[in-house]
Amino acid sequence: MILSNIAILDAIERGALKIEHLAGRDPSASPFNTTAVDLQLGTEILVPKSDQPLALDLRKKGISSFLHQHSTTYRISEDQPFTLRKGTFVLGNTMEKVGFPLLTDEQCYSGRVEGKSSLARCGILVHFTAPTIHAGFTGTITLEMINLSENDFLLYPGMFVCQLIVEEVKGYPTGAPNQFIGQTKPAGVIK
Amino acid sequence: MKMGAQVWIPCRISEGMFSNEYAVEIPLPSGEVLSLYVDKSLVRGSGDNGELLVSVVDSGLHEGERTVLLPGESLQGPRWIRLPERDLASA
Repeated sequence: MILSNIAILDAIERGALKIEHLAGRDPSASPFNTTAVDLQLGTEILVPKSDQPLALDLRKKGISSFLHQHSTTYRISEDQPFTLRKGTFVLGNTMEKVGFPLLTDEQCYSGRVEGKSSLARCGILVHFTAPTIHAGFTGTITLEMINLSENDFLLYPGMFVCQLIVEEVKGYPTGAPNQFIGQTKPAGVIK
Repeated sequence: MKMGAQVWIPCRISEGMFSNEYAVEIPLPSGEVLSLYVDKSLVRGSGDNGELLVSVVDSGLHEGERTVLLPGESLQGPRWIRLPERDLASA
């Protein structure tokens, strides 16, 4: 079930959901929508380096550091936005930190990040394959951004760039669910 | 440690892609290593002596081992991992 603006605010005030800067806000005003909350673009844009041919291998040790070393970070501001060229892929993140705590005595929630129609009309994708924010996650939301239009697009920090939909999780997400028993790769329990 | 408890597990910490995150690597008893990016608030220590805050998500069904849930998806896929109970430190 998708939470309404009122239910989102209620979950925040009960401590069952965290979305920075929203506690005590008016749920009938921005950044609330009826069934979502708009989130803002943060101040960093990461651009993968293209200076050498390489094949990414997620099984390789140290892959997380490797990805860091092979990207360039741009800090953006009102005076210095990032120009997202057509056909270009970058990573951004939300300004707001969110948290979906696993509480045994409270309702658990998960989320989905979706684009906004305003950016969609300009050909901007803010995610294309990983919208789910699973129960138990804490942090800012990483955005996979691509410009599919024929024009460049300016990215400013603080612009409302995506919307977060919050959903109830039925039951407590315990470990070792049946479908994972005995499975070690690629997404099961590793013994 | 009851289900839902927050515990620290050993990890190796390095710089993340964004300034508000770290990259962490978790060595598993099998010899495999899982890596993921996590918010800085979920990590303590540094370098090879780091610790990552995770949730216990089983009720102690496996003697000497506990299943914990990583705070985000690992680059290798799994989010549930089973670790020796002695590697878990109460938060």
